[in-house]
Amino acid sequence: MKDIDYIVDFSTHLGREMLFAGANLERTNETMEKVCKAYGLHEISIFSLSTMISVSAKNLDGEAETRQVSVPGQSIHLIKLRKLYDLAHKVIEEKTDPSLLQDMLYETVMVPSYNAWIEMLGFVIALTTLCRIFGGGWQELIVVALCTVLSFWLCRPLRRANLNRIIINVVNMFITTAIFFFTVWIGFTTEMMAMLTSMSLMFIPGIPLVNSMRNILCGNEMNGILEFLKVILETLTICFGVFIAYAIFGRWYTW
Amino acid sequence: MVENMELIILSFLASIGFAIVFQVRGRDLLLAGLGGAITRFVYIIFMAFIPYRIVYAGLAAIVAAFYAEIVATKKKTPATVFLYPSIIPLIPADLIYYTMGGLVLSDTDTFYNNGIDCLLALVGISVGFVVASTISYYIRKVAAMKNVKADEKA
Repeated sequence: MKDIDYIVDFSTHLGREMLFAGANLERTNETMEKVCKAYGLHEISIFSLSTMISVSAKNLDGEAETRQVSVPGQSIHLIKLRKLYDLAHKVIEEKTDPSLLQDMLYETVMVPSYNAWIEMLGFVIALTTLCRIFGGGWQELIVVALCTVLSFWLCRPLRRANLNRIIINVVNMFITTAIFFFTVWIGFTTEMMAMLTSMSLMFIPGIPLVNSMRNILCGNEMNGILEFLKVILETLTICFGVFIAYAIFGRWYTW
Repeated sequence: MVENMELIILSFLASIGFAIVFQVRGRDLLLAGLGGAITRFVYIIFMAFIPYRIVYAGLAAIVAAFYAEIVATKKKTPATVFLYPSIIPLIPADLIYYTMGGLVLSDTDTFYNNGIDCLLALVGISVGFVVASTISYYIRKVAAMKNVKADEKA
């Protein structure tokens, strides 16, 4: 392989990993361009969406290379993102041997995640405090904490089975809403709004929602609109889960 | 006052919770939580003086983005690490809930009014980010130019 192959390969895969870890589109494009420029490539053309990246560049001998990769659905992993930025800076400053770039990237993305129990604890802390912010009392906090644990462990096998996110959202929101209706019906809780709002934040892609609007305003209209539609669709699936629970158990609670 | 204090502490905890979910580590967790608390604090203050959510949410977003930029510059990390947990208090979850309620109950007025408010709040937050990141970009550019000039003189 020639140097240009290694460099263009590295920059597209770096961009892919950055987007996957939660980077915004402008910073990702900027980083990929800087990497290519650091190695003297020119006529750099980058086209990226949140689902795919295409990079073309020429070297000083006039040889051109193009790479296109697809980006899997975003999963925010900020420590990985930080390490990817560090790697990009290192490569730009030191102009590392191009043949080593892919191995360095591979090592960087192998950042371990928190174990499942700690991640679950994060969700419990976040959603119970949000429930309190929205006016929930101790009973509501207990129910939200239990539903968070239930949803967390329910989501894991469904995600591992590569089940469509739409189905995961509908199933989870149906179960949790049914539990909320039941707790209101037996008189254990009263603040439906606090419970449902905080719980839905486990599934509503809040950060992509804000990012999609930001993309539209920053001139990445195409990506912004696509992202916005995706977020709306996911939010609608949450509504659908709530709606099914309401249709079946609505008699337990007057909305 | 006590209620506001409670809100700030709860926002601190909520941001830490989401920071754990987003895989933030070590002392950065506290800084992420602090970002949430600061965002809530300015949100409460602006809300007391400004009647439009699009404006006070936007101003709070500017503060959150600047906080993230400052901490990120000090810690030499991308601003995203502190920005995402800091904006948790700004997500208009209550409006999303009422919009959702309107849709489930086929209540067009509730759905439409809350949906529009929710969209406006999101626009406000996004404009806030764009303003803050544009200003930060120019500050960094000016600082870099100054450094180049200082190197040339040396």
